[in-house]
Amino acid sequence: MQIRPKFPTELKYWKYEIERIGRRLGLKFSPTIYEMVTSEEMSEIVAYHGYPVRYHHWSHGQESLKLKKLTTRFGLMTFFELIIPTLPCYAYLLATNTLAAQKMVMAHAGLGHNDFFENNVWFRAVPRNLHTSFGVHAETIDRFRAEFGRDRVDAFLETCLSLDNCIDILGSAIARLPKRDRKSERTRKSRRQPQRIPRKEELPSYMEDVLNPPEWLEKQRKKIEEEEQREVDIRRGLILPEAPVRDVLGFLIEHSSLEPWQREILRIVRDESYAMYVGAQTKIMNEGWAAYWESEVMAGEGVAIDSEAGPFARHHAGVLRQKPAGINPYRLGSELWDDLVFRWDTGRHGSIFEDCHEAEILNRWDEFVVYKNLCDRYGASTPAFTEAWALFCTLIHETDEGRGAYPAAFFNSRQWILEWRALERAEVEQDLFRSHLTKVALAEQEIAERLESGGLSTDDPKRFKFRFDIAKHNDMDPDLDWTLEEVEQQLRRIEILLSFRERFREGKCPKVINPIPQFWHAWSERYPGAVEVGKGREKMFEVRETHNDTAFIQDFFTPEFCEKRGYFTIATRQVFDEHTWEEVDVYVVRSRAFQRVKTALLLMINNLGQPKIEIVNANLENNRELLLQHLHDGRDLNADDIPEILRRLWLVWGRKKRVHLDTIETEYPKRKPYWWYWRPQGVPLPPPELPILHSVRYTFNGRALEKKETGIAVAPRQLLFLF
Amino acid sequence: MSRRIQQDEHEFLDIVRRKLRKDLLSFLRQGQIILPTGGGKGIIVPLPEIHIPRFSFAPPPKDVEDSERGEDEPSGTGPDIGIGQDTGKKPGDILGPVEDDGEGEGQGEGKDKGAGRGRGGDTINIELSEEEFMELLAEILELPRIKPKGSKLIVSEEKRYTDIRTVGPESLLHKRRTIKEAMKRQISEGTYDPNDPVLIPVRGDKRYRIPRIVTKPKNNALVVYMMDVSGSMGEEERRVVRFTCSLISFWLRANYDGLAEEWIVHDDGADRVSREDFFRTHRGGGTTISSAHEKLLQIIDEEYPAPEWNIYPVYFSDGFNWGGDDDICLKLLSEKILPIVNQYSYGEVRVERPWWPAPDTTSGVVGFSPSGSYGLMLLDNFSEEELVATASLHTMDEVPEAIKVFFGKGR
Repeated sequence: MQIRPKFPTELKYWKYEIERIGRRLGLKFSPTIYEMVTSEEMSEIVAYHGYPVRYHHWSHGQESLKLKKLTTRFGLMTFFELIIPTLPCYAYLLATNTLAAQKMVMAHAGLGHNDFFENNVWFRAVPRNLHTSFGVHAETIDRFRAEFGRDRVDAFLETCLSLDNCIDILGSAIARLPKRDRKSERTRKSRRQPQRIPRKEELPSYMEDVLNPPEWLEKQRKKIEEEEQREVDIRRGLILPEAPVRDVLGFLIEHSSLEPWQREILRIVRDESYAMYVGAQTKIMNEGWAAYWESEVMAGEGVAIDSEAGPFARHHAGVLRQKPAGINPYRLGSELWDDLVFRWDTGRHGSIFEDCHEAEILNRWDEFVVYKNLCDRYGASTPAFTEAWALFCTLIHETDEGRGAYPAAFFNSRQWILEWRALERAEVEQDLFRSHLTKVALAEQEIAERLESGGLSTDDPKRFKFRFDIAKHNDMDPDLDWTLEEVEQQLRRIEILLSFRERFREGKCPKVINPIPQFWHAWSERYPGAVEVGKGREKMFEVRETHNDTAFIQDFFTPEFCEKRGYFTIATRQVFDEHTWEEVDVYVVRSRAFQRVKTALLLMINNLGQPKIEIVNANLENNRELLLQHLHDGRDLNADDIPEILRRLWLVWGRKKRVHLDTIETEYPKRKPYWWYWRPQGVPLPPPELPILHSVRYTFNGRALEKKETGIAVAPRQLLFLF
Repeated sequence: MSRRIQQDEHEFLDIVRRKLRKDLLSFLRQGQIILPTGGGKGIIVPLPEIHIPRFSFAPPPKDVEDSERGEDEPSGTGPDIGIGQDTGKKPGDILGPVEDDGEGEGQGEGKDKGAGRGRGGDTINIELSEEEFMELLAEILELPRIKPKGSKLIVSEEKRYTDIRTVGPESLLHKRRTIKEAMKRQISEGTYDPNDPVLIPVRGDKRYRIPRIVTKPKNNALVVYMMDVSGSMGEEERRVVRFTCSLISFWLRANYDGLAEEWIVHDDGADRVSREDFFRTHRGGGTTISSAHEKLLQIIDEEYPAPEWNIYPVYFSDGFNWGGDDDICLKLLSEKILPIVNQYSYGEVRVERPWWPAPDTTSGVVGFSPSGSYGLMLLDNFSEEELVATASLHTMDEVPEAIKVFFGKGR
């Protein structure tokens, strides 16, 4: 019998501290409840996707055993944490993690993921009490098992599970069908008339036939007739659906012929599918977000004490590891967020940046931005401007030499603008922090007293709890999210900056003036208005609310980003391995072209990596036969699974009528022998052969599967339907 | 405290076991079963994951063009299947071997992934106990239990140290009894104080264990594996032989109390080797099958007296033999070998001899090639003989049938 490991007290105190830092950094998160679990339990929980109760099914058992084998027996994988978007958020921690690891996990999940769930608009579609809904689903299915027979219910449940990826993930955001206003249609008495082009007064009447030729009017009348007939048919149910339906499960729930309990099971499968997809749809952003804040809190804010810095760095590097091929969502997400912060901090956005191709400007962008802002404020070539420019250049120089507020070892061009901005805002910030000072100092004193009266040393983690208690007592005053040490550190920094400025004004430090190239002035004039800088965090918070993965990649995966980080597309190739004398499959680098990389990436994450299947006709040949279509975007369906899936679809459609699937199968050019490519010198190779696209229709009639080729399709390769 | 998901796990294991029982034959055909070499551990059958079919993308096509078209043009003609990241690589560079399923990023929030998973999808290892497996084998291959012959009983002696006497060597001192005797004596003397129990044994108290000889009849079997290594066997053929040997050893071990294994390889002369060398050796001399059989007789004479052991010679070869050697073998078999063995088994495998043309397998004789003269000789002379069993072992899926032939008679 296993006793559930308890949440250690020390960890509880660190939780208060981490949450305090999260609040101070501006994250808005809901309460998190941590549960400590053993490694075996963790595998089981992951098999249930983190929810305590799911309906019983052998597939969960299989997943659980598989994960246990991989984690506990072979040590190939570890799940450090798992968090679900409920309210409050439940998070699971491995009891065997070290303290450093637990802190990382609490920062990662409890701050990063939690805040993301709380603020991202796509998560609004997910009810916060999913664990209850799943419990209800489990109960319902158990009830059905008892009433209708276990085997029957299990078989039907499995049948439905085959179709659980045929949902419309953008259905909450896009109106697929125009709204029908039935009432206005019925009241429209007269038929629509063809539109005539009106005659201007000056034209004689025989021009009527030229302006509105009878044949054209006739064609219009025919079209109107067809449209109205179509409307009638739709109302009568002869044309169903009126437009292709992406939400296959929803359509089947409404229109298939099933018993009530079967319909309910289908509904359960659909609901669960919809509940799960949002996480998958925002995975890159979410993981990157969490990894960013984990790093900030642990390293940036010093939650990791010195001895923990090494393990943290190793863990972080492992999580952000790059495999030879494929994307790691943590890494991609984290790099994109880094880039976003950098760009919005240093004004590398907007047309002023994107339209600029001048190396003179781009290589010294940070200085250019400051130059422009100063020009804007003081006017170019005024004495005030020259003074401010010298101040900026000297500031950079001094900080570089170690006499500034920022540690010289880490000071590089990324910090220039921020440092200048800090100097500009020095007085304002100083007042702000001074106002914090009294409250914070008082709180600190009280904490010290409590520690002493409890007989604890000054660096006992219990001080975090005391701080939380005091803050709570003061209604969570945001000032009290600061510690005295932090406030003093900020004030010291500001003082250094101000004292530097004093020295500069008194002429006590060597004046540095960087040269200003000609181009800068022209470019600066072209885009009036100051360049916004230091907006990195703000933009981050904005973007985490509105975007999902596809939008994130669309907007922020830029050519510079792609080139700087070295992304490329890959393919597989069969090569001859000299060591083993065998043909092996390897990944090869295909291309670094930006468009191709971005398209490949978007294709990978579009529609959660699932094929797009639509219902185009539920009344095929007026016989209530079902026709599905696969929207081919350059990737074929896996033909091995199709027979079984169609059989299950036939069962779910329930009318004993045939079901069909239209798709495209690509015939790729065969491998040529090595001598094919030989040409005498100067003679070019023929262009590469293109694949042939066959459009096929699979039909299942209740007994057997038929496959019929319906022609050669003409579809552009790698077509990207983002919706 | 059982957790909810454990019901799902049991359900899954049930389904898998049922499937295993149904499909055991096909698993045997694929040679996927892992048998323990020493006996005593369970049998492991790796089963592929049961996967619920869903709409998914077909595996991407591989590049077909070998030629380089130029540095600026992207290499290859198929579609891009994914992206990777490295500042140092150029188009056309090889990144690494393809691992099956290496790209799955996993579901749920917050997973950390280590090394990639194994090839060919994931497998669940199902463990069967030896009894279970033996039952299944017997059921599927319709193998009767082997009836050991009455005269082949070895009387094995065991010493059991269960008796007691008053003299003996100190190493066999039975401490508990000694102390007990001391206690009896001291109580009768009156020197025993329950509050301060100190017992001092004297010479007369000491008791010693003595051995008693217990005879147990044991049925033992000897299996002698012989193989022709004058040609070379490919990977597949080697696996077939290895798997067959495992199954034979397993079956014999399950039917007898003890099993001894001997390994002989031969080309022109025969050598007795260890188990590993049996599978790894390959020589390249001529082929004289009688040498192996003479070695067999030699070993039996020296170490395994025929009256005490149930002997099972098993010979693997492609039947290719040197000239008049077939007659010598015939004589050896009928006069010396068959009288003393339980059963002689012959499995014809494919051996490649670089200096002879490959055997023609379309001869019309069941499984045996015309150049497999040894096999044909056996068929000609011993097809009525119960003691001789012949089978073809060219591919892995012939293994179950071979086992059936070898042990189907209950010998």
